[in-house]
Amino acid sequence: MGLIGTGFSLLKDFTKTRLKGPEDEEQKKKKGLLARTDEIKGLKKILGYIRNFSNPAVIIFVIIGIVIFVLISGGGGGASLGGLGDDEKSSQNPPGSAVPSIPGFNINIEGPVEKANGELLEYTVTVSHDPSVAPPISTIELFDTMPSNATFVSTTGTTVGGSDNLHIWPLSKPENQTSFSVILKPAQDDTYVSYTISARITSTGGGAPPSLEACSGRYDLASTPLGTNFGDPECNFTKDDLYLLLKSLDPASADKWYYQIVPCESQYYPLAYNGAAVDSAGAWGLFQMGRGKNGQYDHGDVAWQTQASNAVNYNALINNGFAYWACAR
Amino acid sequence: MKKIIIITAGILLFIVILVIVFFLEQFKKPKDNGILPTPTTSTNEKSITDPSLDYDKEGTDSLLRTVTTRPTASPDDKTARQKLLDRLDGKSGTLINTSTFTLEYSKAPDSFSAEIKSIEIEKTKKEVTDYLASQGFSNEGICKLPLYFYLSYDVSKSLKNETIKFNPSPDFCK
Repeated sequence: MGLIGTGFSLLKDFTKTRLKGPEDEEQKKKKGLLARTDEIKGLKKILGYIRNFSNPAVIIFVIIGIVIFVLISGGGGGASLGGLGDDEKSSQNPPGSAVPSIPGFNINIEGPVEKANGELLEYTVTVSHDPSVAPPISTIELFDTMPSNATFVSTTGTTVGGSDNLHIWPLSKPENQTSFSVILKPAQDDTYVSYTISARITSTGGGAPPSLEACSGRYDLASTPLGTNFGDPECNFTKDDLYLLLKSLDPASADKWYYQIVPCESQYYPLAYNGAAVDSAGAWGLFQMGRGKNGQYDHGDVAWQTQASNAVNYNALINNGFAYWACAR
Repeated sequence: MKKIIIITAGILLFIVILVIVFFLEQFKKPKDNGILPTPTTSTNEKSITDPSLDYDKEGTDSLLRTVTTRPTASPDDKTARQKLLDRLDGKSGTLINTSTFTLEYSKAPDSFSAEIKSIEIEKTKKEVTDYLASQGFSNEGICKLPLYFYLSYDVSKSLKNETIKFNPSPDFCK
């Protein structure tokens, strides 16, 4: 390092010495003249460009060029994540921007910015969940949007259901709850791969089958014709979790569901049953819904999480008018 | 003249490129993977449920107003509220459980609820509000907790054939 420093110093002194001589002074003047001539020529050239630029045809073609450049540069690829329909593209996404509809819950996906042709693409998905704010983690699942120019190779998480083009990671699986990786293979060389992972509240989350659990005497299983615990088969119902779930499913009406409809219809009792209901199949659960008479969402004979999503989904079908529930009036 | 032809050609070319780019963008948009609800054949005009008893509309509206607007309590009522929460370390839990009612705090909705386990509804409601008054709350402070009542499942069923209008709010709350 010291040697390099010395070399620099010598070169500097040498240049200074040459400029001091009388011949060099003459050359210096010539050089100055030459430089000034070049400057004038350069100025003329620039003025020429400006004159050409004032030609409308040139302006139009420049604008077209800019528009095409902007559109093309906006079409780059990478991994992305978000809610449904999110078209965001980046290799690393800012936390908190992913799923605005699920409070206290966030996912982050990191992937390679660039890889050589033929190499696999590995993405790392990280999940963060604040149980004091977010709905129960078992009610959330992640799913991907497969790009058309890549194929799925593997994941360290556990997928359930889905297909070649749709992979679903239920967060009820402990191995999916913190972090997992996904590997994709580009289907062609020299291409951008845009990979999206989103989160959603699942209608089947916590939808365990009926059990024989009385949950330490909390429920009287004999009080329904089924004789089983259909509403809280895993003994995990709390009013807090119900509220958080409703807040996620239907933020605008969560208070109405929680303070008005549920206590009036079922007294927060997930196994509530009314055999004398308008529906001949009876009224079931927190929201006193039927057993499918009015379609797929008219089911109260399921676990409490699904009871909640069924009620919200059914209400959406009837324009959020709550007409189904006498207690909503 | 030549200039006008060039300008017109340029504008036309620009429009054609815009149209092509617009259509290409349409194809690029990702398809929605969300599960769409299947419409049902019946969207009943009349309610289907048949609750055990009627709820008082005014009391219900008053409760919903309080939980959504969260009016500010007086300093004394705020202190009394904090003392109750401190007993639970700020978590959800039961404050008092008697043979006639269970008073709970739920952190997620940040509200207090009293489950009434006796068919003597008005008497039990008064027991709850008297208890809170003994903890330093004014009537206004009780309303602003917010506090609401609901019947236990068993009591509700036992009152099925009674003509009762149940007010989920303390009666003095407006």
